[in-house]
Amino acid sequence: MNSRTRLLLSIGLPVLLIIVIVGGFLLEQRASNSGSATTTNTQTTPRKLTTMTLALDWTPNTNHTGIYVALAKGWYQAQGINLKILPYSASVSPDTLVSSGKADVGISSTEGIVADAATGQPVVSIAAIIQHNTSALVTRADSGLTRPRDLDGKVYGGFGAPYEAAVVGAIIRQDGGKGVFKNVTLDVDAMEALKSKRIDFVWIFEGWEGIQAQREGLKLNVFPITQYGIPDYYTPNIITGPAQIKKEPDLLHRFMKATAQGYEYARTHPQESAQMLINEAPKGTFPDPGLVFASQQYLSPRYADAGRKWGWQDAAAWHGYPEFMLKAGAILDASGKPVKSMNFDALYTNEFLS
Amino acid sequence: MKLRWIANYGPAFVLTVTLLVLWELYVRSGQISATVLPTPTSIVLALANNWDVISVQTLQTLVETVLGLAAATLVGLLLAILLDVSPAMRRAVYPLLVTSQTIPIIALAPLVLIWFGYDLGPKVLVVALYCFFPIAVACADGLLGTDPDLERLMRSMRASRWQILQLVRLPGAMPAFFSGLRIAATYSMTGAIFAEYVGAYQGLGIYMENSANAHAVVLVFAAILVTAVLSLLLFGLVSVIERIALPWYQGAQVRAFGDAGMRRMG
Repeated sequence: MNSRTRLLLSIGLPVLLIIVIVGGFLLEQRASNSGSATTTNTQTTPRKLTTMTLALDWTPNTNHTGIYVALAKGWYQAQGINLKILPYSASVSPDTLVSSGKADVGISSTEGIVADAATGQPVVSIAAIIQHNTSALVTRADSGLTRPRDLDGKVYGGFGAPYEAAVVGAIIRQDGGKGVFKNVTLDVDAMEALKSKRIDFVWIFEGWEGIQAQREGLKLNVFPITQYGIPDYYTPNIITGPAQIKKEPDLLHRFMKATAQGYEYARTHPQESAQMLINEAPKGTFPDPGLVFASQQYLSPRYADAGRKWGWQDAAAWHGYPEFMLKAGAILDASGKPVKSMNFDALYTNEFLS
Repeated sequence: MKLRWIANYGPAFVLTVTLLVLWELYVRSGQISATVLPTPTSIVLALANNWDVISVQTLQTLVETVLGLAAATLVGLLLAILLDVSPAMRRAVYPLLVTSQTIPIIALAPLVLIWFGYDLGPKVLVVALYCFFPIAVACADGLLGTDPDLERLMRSMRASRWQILQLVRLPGAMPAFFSGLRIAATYSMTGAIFAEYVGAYQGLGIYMENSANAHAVVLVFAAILVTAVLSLLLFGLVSVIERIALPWYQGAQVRAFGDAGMRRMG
């Protein structure tokens, strides 16, 4: 080999590799695109669709079922909407994406919405996904920690939200404890840490992690937070930003119409809607489909009380818990000082549900 | 030939197999739950069963990796030459370069996402940011370490600056450049996976995150296995190219295989 061949080879080999990989990638993309195009074309009349983006608060789960049902049924398209679900990001919150205009709508929580208002990044809740709070503090059944006041001095595995420690402390105090505990922020799954006894308690959604634990045979003591003096509140919520409300109210109306349709369907068809969630979510999202079905059975009747329309929000819920959080000193403004008062009625609206 | 192969790769092979067997036994004996640490056999099985999904994710991550690494190589090489050509430039840019590496990319993640979105571009950018530094630094050091006698000789023959660079300094810097490239190649997959963690439609990073959220730890490990194998292959590829480009430079073998390589040289 002379030096010219050597030079050519050592540059050519990597270039060839890149071409092969990129070529394979493009082929694969074309294949998957044409696959999805044919399925959507069958059910639409040629009408111009408005593209809309939605930011998730977590990897797809049964809190999101109604949206995936409406996607599967073509209800967004019927409203002239091409809904794109943005992938969940652990490091950028949906609230940030919505208030910066990167997403039209998102999924967030009452806590998140109140905290956003305090830090000058306002978002507005336009629907309650679940009418009653289904979150709970849990410990291992064999830990001997049988009520919130036992949690004093124990280790809490948190998710790193600013309001978290104050709310958990208040729950413990409501039950007669001191509300002093160690808070470890975990980037890994808190339930795994609980299982291996590295932490003593976590704050979970009963409809997902609770059922997951059941299926794995992990016995838990469950303290639903509303049974320990915390005012009931909606979680999660569908949010949008003030800018979007001003700019595209009609689009939001149509979005909510299809979304409400999806959740109403999910309320009465747990089995079918769970299957739609599995089909519509990216491949590989649910290695255990049984969990989705079990969770959907639990959640379907809880999206809203019997006889009530899905999504509607009452003033009582938007005053009780937010007030409680402010009192607990859980809400800090952008400079880190506790916020003492806030206009709660600006945090939500039902106008897009009617 | 056969014996030499065994001498070269035998110890690594034996050690790997021993560790895997110990791992398998440790989990099987019930010391730790298989839902926290799956056994090697179950990982391989899970990988085979889910290959249809994982292969798509792998291709995505691989594209990000090779494009990012290619960009980093070009930028790193150019930057090194630039630093070498102008000492003023070196004094101005070098400290910034080092400082840039102290910024945790996690802090920039929201910015990257909001500025550039979810497409391929920002992923390639993050990989390039991860990888250009070792290449630039190693190559710049290599350029600095040119034999001064050779340079003097060239100058005495009225070689231009460019000629010196092309004929003496760059070839002399190549071993250092390849060292940097080898480090970068090892990092590159991890960089791509991190970029996906920030937010992506698909890729091994997203797949790991989804699987972890779904408590399917065995699938997380399957994705790790793919990552490790591909990183090794990239590393191997760099070594192969190095041997093609610099057949006279056997340092790589000395480092990798210790005594066996030395003996062959002698």
